[in-house]
Amino acid sequence: AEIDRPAAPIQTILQIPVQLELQWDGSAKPSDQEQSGDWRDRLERAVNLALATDRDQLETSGKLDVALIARVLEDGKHADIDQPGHYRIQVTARRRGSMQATPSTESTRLRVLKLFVPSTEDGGPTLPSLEKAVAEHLMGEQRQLRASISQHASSSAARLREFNYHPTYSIVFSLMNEDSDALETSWDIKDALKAYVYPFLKDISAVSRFHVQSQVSYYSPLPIAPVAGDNGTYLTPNMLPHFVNLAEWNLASTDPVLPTIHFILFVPKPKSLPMRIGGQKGSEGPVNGFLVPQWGGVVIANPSVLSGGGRTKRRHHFGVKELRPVMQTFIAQLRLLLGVREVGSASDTLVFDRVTPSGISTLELDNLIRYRLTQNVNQAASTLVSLNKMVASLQSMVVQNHIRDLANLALERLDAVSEHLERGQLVEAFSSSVEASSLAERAFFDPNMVGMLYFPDEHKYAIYFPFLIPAAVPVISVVLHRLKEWKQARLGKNCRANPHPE
Amino acid sequence: MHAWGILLQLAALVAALSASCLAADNPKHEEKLREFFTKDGHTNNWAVLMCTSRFWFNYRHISNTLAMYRTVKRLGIPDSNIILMLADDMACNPRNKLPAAVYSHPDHDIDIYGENVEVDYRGYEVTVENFIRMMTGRVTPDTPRNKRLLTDDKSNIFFYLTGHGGEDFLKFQDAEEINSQDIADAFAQMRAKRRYNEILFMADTCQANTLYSRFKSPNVLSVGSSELGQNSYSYFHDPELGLTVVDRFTYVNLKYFEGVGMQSTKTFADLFSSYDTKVIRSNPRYDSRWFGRRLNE
Repeated sequence: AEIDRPAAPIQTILQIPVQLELQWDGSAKPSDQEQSGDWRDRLERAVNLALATDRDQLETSGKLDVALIARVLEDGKHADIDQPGHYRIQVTARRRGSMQATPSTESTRLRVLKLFVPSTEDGGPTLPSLEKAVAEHLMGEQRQLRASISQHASSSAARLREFNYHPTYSIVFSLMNEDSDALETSWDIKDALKAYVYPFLKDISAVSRFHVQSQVSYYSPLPIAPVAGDNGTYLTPNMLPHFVNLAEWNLASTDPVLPTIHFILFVPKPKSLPMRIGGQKGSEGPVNGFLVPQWGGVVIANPSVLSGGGRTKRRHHFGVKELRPVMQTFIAQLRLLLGVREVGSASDTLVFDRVTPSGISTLELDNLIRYRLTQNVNQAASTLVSLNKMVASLQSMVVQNHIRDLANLALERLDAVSEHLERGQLVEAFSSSVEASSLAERAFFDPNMVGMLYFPDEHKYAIYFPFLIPAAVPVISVVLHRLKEWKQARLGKNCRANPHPE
Repeated sequence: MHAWGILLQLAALVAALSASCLAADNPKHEEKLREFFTKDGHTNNWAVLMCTSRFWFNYRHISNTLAMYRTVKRLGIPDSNIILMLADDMACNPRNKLPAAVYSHPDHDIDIYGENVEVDYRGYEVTVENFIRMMTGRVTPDTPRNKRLLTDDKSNIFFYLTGHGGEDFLKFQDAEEINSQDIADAFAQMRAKRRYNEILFMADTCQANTLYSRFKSPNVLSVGSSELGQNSYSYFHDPELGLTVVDRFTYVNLKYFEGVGMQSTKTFADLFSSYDTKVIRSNPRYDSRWFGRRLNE
């Protein structure tokens, strides 16, 4: 079977629509030298410049070749920036071959993200900082996307710790108690999850789905011994990789393929309390926890051992309120594990809106979708290329028709990704990219694609000749004999052609 | 064959403005984080330990593999990340005078079979096809999780193969053999699908150094127990069981790892320099041509 359509070029991917909303309050004003109309043009031009594909071309020919076009709008129409108000900078994808922006669709308009410009005493932000801020943000995104599909595996901290993309993950929340005899523990996990974790999972469900489970372990010994300090114990950095006792804690997953994210709330035995991470002075931040790359996160709880009356407690129950900082830490760790990039402040004067009740903002979610979309398309494309190379190199392998169908379907889905992007439909493009990637993987990892083992010609000779040659000996000798007889018969010298002696 | 028009080159959509990166973490924080991370790019470890010979008189191959399994578990790789393939069952073999136990030393001090062992491929499931399927990821959909090699591009994998072998091949179950070219092809496919970060390939068979002669994949470090034309020898003879219980090369490795804890900073160079040819009675050799790091890091 042959696959005969080239896949879409990846450069289309990065023409992803974005709409930024610029809002500032009363005291910010354009400076006196600039005319308001000029300001709008200058802002547009500056942002377009930042997004231009070829600066040199711009400088020589004066013509812009941009993949993204920026326009300043006010409630849908062009406006002059001369008074404080609500302005939008709309950055949309350019349809190939034209300088017109594609019309915005419903889904684009919904993805409006806010930039707050706080007022300052000396007149507020000036144009250069606004231009710079917006351009920096957009460029930072593009750089991240490019880095994500570069050929060399990046070993930056972010890339090392995040999970590879999967449409479904399994999350397990475990309460691990080192010594239940001394201190029994329990937790209100169901309510805590409902209050703190499920909103986040719901928001991020555009990217992946999650199966959530929880468990309590009553006897979870540590494989390492924490260092005794003045007040309790502490863990040094080189102990942390060995903290999770994978040998004895019940952390095995039962699903054959789903990647599992583990979150552990660890309660040390009362003798080791309070246990801190870092050094004598305690951990760096308010939370006592750490993240295990590509695995999950751990938070060490230090419940007070004394109850209200001063007696030693035998039982501690983690209520929903007490679990709040723990769940917040888990959400923060989950964000990092899923690849959510924190949206930084563009400059001192502009702040991106990122505080939301669920734990992820629209801009961050959009960035995550773009990032995973790029990765999926890249993976689908490289899988199909590897598939092609493998089929070409293993001549003896039989490739069945359903593999060709899967590969063609994957190519179709890749085309669908760029079509959706041209129309500004980010979420649909993302789901197409997920389908493309999984189809390509199914084609490549099909169980029928195991090639025949190495069987070179020398082996073929070595195996078949010792059988064929002895079997051929009588055949050849009879043929030669008959030839000789026939030759002699022709020359009439065959004196042995007598009838049988009586 | 049609050419694929995939442009993995990107058109530069971004002009060369020297904007500062929008790093969420400030630089000091990154530095603090960095001391928590490993030097190379791996986040998880896997081990594939395989014994390919069956029958009672090949007891030492099973005990080689089980002793390696114990070492690997002690040093922190969990069962979920170990694929243990044993071609025969020695602990419950009718000829075993000490049933339900496997020993790698005539003193019988440590029972390496023990109570906490998870064999993933056992008996007749250890075949060339299953091995290749497991390595390349082309298992049937009904394969359970413990039989799958679920590695990714940040996994370091330790391959340990033992059994009877010869020039460029390894014998499976006395019925079939795997060629060194097949193993090299499987590694190449794993590389194409980014299924490993680094591989340590160790083979304890006769003429083991030929097994890795065809490897061309990057980041693979191989070590074998004997050269072409040399045999690998067994070590202790156990008078109670009536056969030899461990191989020399494996024994030397196990002895070395007894002195290594989870938090040790020893390097490959230390390991390889501890090989004593007089004890091993053959010439082990390592091949680091394709390995990215230096051996003394």
